[in-house]
This record gives sequence, structure tokens and C-alpha cells, in this order.
Amino acid sequence: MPGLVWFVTRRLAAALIVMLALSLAVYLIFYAIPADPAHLACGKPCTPDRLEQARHFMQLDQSTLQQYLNFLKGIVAGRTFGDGAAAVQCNAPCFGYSFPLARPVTTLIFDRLPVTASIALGAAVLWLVLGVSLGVIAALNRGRLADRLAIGVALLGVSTPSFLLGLLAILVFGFWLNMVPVSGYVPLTESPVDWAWHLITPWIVLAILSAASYIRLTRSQMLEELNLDYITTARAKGAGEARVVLTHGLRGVLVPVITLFGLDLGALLGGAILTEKVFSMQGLGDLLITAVGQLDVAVVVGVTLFSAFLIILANLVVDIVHGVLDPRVSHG
Amino acid sequence: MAEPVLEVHDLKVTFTTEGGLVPAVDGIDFAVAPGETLAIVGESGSGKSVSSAAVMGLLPSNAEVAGEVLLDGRELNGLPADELRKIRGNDIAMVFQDALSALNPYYSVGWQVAEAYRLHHDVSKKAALRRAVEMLDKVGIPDAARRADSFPHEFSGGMRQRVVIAMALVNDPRVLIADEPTTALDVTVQAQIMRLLDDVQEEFGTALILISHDLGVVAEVADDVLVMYAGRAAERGTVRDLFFRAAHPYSLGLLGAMPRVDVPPKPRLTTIPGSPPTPGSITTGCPFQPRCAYTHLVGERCVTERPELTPRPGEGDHEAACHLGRRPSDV
Amino acid sequence: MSSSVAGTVSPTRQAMRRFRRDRSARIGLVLVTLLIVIAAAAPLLVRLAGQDATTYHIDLLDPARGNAPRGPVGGASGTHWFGVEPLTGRDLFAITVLGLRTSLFIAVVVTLITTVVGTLAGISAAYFGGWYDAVLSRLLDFLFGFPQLVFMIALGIVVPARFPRWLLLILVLSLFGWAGLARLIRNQARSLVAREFVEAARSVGSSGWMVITRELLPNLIGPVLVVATLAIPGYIGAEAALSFLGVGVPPPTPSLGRSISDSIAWVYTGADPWFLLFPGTMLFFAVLGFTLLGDGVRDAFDVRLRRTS
Repeated sequence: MPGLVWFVTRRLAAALIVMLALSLAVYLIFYAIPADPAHLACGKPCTPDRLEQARHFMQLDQSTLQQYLNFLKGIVAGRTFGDGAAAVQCNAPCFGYSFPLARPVTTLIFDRLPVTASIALGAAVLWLVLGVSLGVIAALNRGRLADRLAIGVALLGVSTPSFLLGLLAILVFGFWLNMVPVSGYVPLTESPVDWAWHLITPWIVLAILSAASYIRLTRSQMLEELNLDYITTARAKGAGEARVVLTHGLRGVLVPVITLFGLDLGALLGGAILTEKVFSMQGLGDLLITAVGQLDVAVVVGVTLFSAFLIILANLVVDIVHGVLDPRVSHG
Repeated sequence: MAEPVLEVHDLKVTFTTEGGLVPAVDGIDFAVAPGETLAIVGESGSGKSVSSAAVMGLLPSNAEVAGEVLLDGRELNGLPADELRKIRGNDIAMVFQDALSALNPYYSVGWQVAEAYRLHHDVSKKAALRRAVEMLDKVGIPDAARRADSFPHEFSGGMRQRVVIAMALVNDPRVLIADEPTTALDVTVQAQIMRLLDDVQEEFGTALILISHDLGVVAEVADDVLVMYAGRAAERGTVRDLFFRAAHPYSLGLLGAMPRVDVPPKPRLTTIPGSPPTPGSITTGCPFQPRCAYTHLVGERCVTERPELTPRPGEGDHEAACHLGRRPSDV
Repeated sequence: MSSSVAGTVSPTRQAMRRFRRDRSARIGLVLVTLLIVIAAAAPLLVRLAGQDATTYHIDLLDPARGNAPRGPVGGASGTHWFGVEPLTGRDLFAITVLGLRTSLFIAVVVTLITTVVGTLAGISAAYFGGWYDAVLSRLLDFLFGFPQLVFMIALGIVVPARFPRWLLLILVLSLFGWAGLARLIRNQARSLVAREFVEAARSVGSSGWMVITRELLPNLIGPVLVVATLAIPGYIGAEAALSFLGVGVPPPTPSLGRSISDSIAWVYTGADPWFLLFPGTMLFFAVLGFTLLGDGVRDAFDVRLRRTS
């Protein structure tokens, strides 16, 4: 399918350009513009030794352009900070080096990534499935009880901030009813069951909130879709109702749903960060907030750039899925 | 006519809406025999499309269908849904007007034609696709094997319409209902499509019901014609009956409004004044009466008494629903 | 509904009529009015209650329970209507009501800024077109998909400590907020620009500015109003979220988000759930009220998007 290959290549190239532009913008904001970047990298409390080390490693005597190029090189191929006996090797992808914590930022990120990713991905799967199926049910039962319930849940979801719902859930289900654990993350590798058990409440909380808009979207799209001509054609061919709705109708509904999902990826990350704090799990959010407070600009830049790259790549995947689902976009 | 494959008796379709009951079709009869073509002619709102949808059982739930629909003597109206499904697309198939909106944009044309086959035959996907390619080739799509993977938006209007026809014919239906199949196409493509339908009929002996408002097309292909107005039958007969011996003022109006090459040219095209009534607004008398140029010759009866289809004297099955009693052109 | 002989009722009037008939929209309007009154009169209310948000009342705390408030319902009484904060003993009613004021203030200001900037950007992009439009569209695409929360947190490190936090919050929220409205207005305005009446106005010699204000703007009021009203609950939530994470409004200014964040420990142990419930309920009603209002405005203007029926 040459059409699809060309489509993917175009999107990939665009994504790379955006990532490059973004890395430049981030670099300028956090390293070039501030008066004393070494001080921002030094951490709290800032010892004169560490300040000197930072100044030396960051090669602030070089031109801004050269510094930026080193930074880029680090991401792609890894770099070495400093020289001689005190040199530190930072392997690709190198998002920087944290002087206060004396570790490459990448290591710190990948330590915390599973937490955030678990929350985000689990919730996303749940809300897509929940949102679309409830939306379809609501559309098929228009005006009846199931429809009104779905709309009511949707309204509730849209109105309640996630962290509020999370805390309420903890209060009711965790504390009063004592049904679920209320905090702590258990790595998947340690115990899949415990991992899921601790994540159930955060997943449901996040999912209910976001499912709301998907229920609304799916419902209205489905109602429109079932009025289209090719649905009548399918029935005229002798297809049963189930096939008409699922094979023919749902396909057209999935396209705007996927588009919405692409736009929601940034919010998904934000939601995961908030949820981390509510449920006392130490993920990227916690890493970032602590770094801001501790004046650890390397971590701040690293997490920011990493998240942005992640979103851009995720958007790329969504774009490709969109192209696969809707041949009018990728072919002809 | 020979033994008809599809017979419709006293078909009535009533819609339940917020505004009340709307009678879209108010008692019509027609029949079509294998290998023959019946044209149903009328303006929009005449009920022609609703009639065909009623035959297929494709009307929404707020429609009530009364009357007899017999396929090879078997009553279709009132059949349980799963029985009707086995007939739809299999024994009776439909070709729609706008091929672009009638085809699902998300699946390849080959897949869609194959689906029509698989819905009624228990075969593998590959076998169904093979049959689909065969069909696409038969309707005149060049390089059918490769183009079967293409999507509807990648075809021209005429090619798309061929795909829709292929989809309808893939199960060798006994009856094919074509609802304005050429309205969205330009004239040369129109001719090709009509020729295709003709060829198919000859080869398979399919009965064709052609719904159209285009009398030119009707003249080309129809054997029998049913003229509908406001949900009722206005005139019924062979195509020659209609074009040479029109017995209803409405039919005459339609013919007069059509430019023709076989009669001396008139200084201007005659149009029928006024517009069709909204369904259900005329409850007594003849629905065409407000626009009829001959009603003064009959008088009160046109408003009080509903005209029934009455045979024209000496003209066999030619019938018109008009109180005039004689050909308007004789007046 | 009667239409005058000269023409039909303007879309705005039609919309207002539909709005008045919508029950949930009316509920939203009542709630919002109530909230605005409370927020505006907050300092007055607090003085009426005879309290303030800063005075510590250690005597009302129970050291045996980790300094949770004495008495049921978080220490509610005739003097402290919502009880007091654990650890500090500050009046919770004052904190809640003043916190609402903070939320609404920031949300409304950000909405105003983003509406003005977004509308101008959208209209100019539609009107001028060309490379200006292309660049703006790419920029909007970019801002849309961006992990805003991450960036908003990260910016805290480069901003000097002396910079007023609430101003930074407003600027940062506005930075990401204008994109949504700009995109919507651009799309709407483009379809308007393509229509003849703009061409006609231009041919009569109307300047660009006149075309924009007299021809385009009146037709865009509907979408602008809808997006603006629906944006407010979003910003209320955004400020609350940032304050919840500790990077929003700093102490001593009361903030609903920050209070909720402070309440976490007391929720886990169940020692004082009221510390969560009072500010939490206030936040919930703030978002709900504006959402109902916004939904009502949207349903009133666009028949196609009706939720039910």
C-alpha cells in the first residue's frame, strides 16, 4: 500500500521537525535566557564546590549555539561531562545530568516512568472502552433510561476535577469501606496482581472523568452515523442490525473519537501527574515538582523535553491509526 | 404479462410523526415479470421511493405498511426480521441514487461487494472476494482484480455506480430495484449505465423496477410504467400506452414538460402550474385536481369523489385514475 | 415564535429564547450568580462571620489527635461555620469563600485575555490568510498537543522569585488557552469570509477594520460566547490543579486547590474529612455551575449539538 507508506513517512518527518524546534525552544528558555544557568543546576543547598563543577561541566564558556549542539548530540549519541578523572559518561539518550542527585537525568526518568505510564495507559484503555461502549449504548437507547444515565454520568465526570474525585474515592472506598489500598505503587515485575490492585482506583477515577467526553462524542456521532446512506445500503444487502451498527456504523464513529484522543494525550499526562500525587505514587510528576523546588534545572529540562517528545510520538501513532481507519485521509 | 415474480397489492404506507399520521403511499398496485422492466414515475413526494423501501422492508420503525407484497407468491409484509433479511440483497436487491454516499468510505469496494455475497452464502472470505472481482469485471470495471482493493472515493461517478450495481447483482437477485440510478451522472455515463442494466437483464432474466422522474430514461428501457402522484397511482400501462395514449392529465403534463424529438417542436415547454400537495393534505377527491387543466370539464366530482384506476376502453391493461373518461389530448 | 415581515429574528434573540426554556441552563445561571455574589462579597462575608483566613486558633485543635480540630464536623460551631483547619486552626469558612474568590478571579481574567487574543488571532488568520494563516495554524496544532501541565510546572524554575505568582499563573494559563478559541474562530470566520457579503462590503470600499467589526464579529458572537463560557470551568479546574500540586497560588492567599492538597493526609487517616469536603464541595459547585451555564449557552446557539432529544 504505497499510499499508506508515503503518509506515514510524511507524518514522521513532520514529527521530527517539531521535536527539533521544541528542543531549541526549551533549551533557550531554560539554559540560554536565565542569567545564571549554573546556579539553576546547582540544587539546594548550593555548595560552592558543586557550583564550580556545574559551571565546568556545562561548558558555559562556549557559545550558546555550541552548547545547544552538545545538548542535541547528547540526546542522539550520548556525551561526556567534564574531563579527566572527574568525567562523567552520559549514554544516549542523554537528557542532561543532575548535579544535586549525581545521576544522568535519563536514569531518573526511567526509574519513575513505569509509575506514570501505568496510570496513564491503564486509564486510557479503560476510558476509551468505557466511553465508546457507553456512548454506543446511549445512542442505541436514545431517550430511554440507559441514555439518560450515560448523559448524567458524563455531566458529573466533566464537572469534577480529577484530584477531587480521587480523594473522595479514597475517602469512601479506601478509608470508610476499606475496600482498596489507598496509596503506594507496586511494580508490575514484583506482583502483577498487586500492581493492578493498587492501580484500580486511580484508573477508575481518571477513566470516569475522561470517559465523560467520549460518551458524549460517541453518542452524538453514532446518532448522526446511523442516518447516513451507506447504513441503509448495508441493511438493503441483508445485514443484521448488529453487523450494521458494529461493522458499518462504528467505523465512522471511531475516526472522530481517535482524533479527540490525540488531542487528549497532553491532558492524559497531566491527569496522570495529578493522580500520582493523590494516590501517593512517585512518578514523573513528583520528580519534576521536586526538581523545580530544588533548583535542578537538568531534571526539569529533561522531564519537560521527554514528556513533549512522548506526546509528539504518541500523536504520530494516533495520526497513523487515523490514516489506517480513514482511507480518505491516507489514500488518494 | 408473463407470470410476475413480484406483485404488490393495495400497498399503503403511513408514517407516525409529531405532526400526526402522514400517508405517504395510499393504496397502489404493481407487478413485474422476469426479464421485464417496470418504471415508477413521479415527482419527489409522490411516494415512489417509499414504495420500494416498503417492498424491501427498509422503512424506519415509525412507518406502518399495509397491503400485500408477494415475491413468487410468498407474502413479505409481516415476515419476521430474520426471514426478511435472507431475502434482502439476495432475492430482491436495490441500487441507490448517490453511489458516493451509498458506499461505505472505510472499506474497499471489493470488500463491500464480497460482503453482499458472504451475507447470503457460506463461503470463505477469499472465495467471496473472487466472486466480487468477477462481478466487478462483469459490470465493466477495468482491471477489476487490482481495483477491488481501492476505496469508493478513488473512483469516478460512473465507475462507482457500476460498483453499486455489482453489489446488488452479486447474488443473482430475481428483482432489482433501481432508485434513480442515473440522476447523479452525466448523460453519456447515464447511457452506459442503462445499457449495463439492460445487458444484465438479458443475461440473468432479472426483473427490473426503475424509479425515475426522467422520462427520457423511461422511454429507453421500460416495458410498463406506473405513474404516481401524491402517494396514489395516476396511470398504469405499457410504455407505449403512456407516451402515445396518455390518459391522465398529470401524465400528459409530464410529457408536455419534456422536450421531445419525435414530435414537431412547440414554441415553449408546458409546465404544470402549482406544486405537489404535502402528503395527507388532500383527503377527498382527486389529489391532482388543484393543478388540473381539465377539472372544469368534470365539475364537482373531481373534488368530492376519489378517482379509482379504471381501464381504458379497448386498451387492455392500460388504466388511469381520472374522472374525465377520455384522453385529455382528445379534448 | 413570530417573525417580523421584514426578516427573521436574529440568531442571538433565538438563542436567548431557547436558553430561557432550558431547565439545566437556568439552574446553571442561578448557581453561577450565587457563586459570583459569594466571591465578590467574600471579604464582606468573612467580616460578617467575624473571622479571617489568617488568624491561628491553636486552642481549637486537639493535640491528642495530631492537631485535628476539636468537635464534630471539623470543629464547626456558631463562630466557625465551616469549622477550622487542622494544624493551624484557621477559619475554614473564610478560607473556602476567599478561595472561591481567588479561583473565580483567575479564571475570569484568563478567560477574558484568551477570548480577546484568541478571537483577534482567529479573525485575522481567516481574513488575511496566506502564510500568516499557515504559520498560525501550525502554531495552534503545536500548542494543542503540548503537555501543558508539565510545562507550567517547569516554568517555575526559571521565573525569579520576586515575580508575583498569581500574575505568572494568569500569563501561563493564557499562553496555552488562547489556542482553542483561535482555532474555532478561524474556522468559523473562514467560512464567513468566503461568503459574498464580505466581498460586497469590500467592494463598496469598507476598510478591513470595518469589515471585521461590522460583518464578521456579529456572526461570531455565538461561538465566542459558547467557548468563553465553557472555558471558565476549565480554568477554575486548571488553577485548582496547579495549586493542588503546589505550583499555583502560594500561601497565604487562600486557594481551594491548595486546601484540598493540604487535606490529603487527613483524608487518608480519616481524622478530618471535613477539611476536604468544604473546599471540595465549593470547587465542585463552581465547576458544575459554569459547566451547566456553558452547556446551556451552547445548546441555545447550536440546535445541532443538543444533548438530548
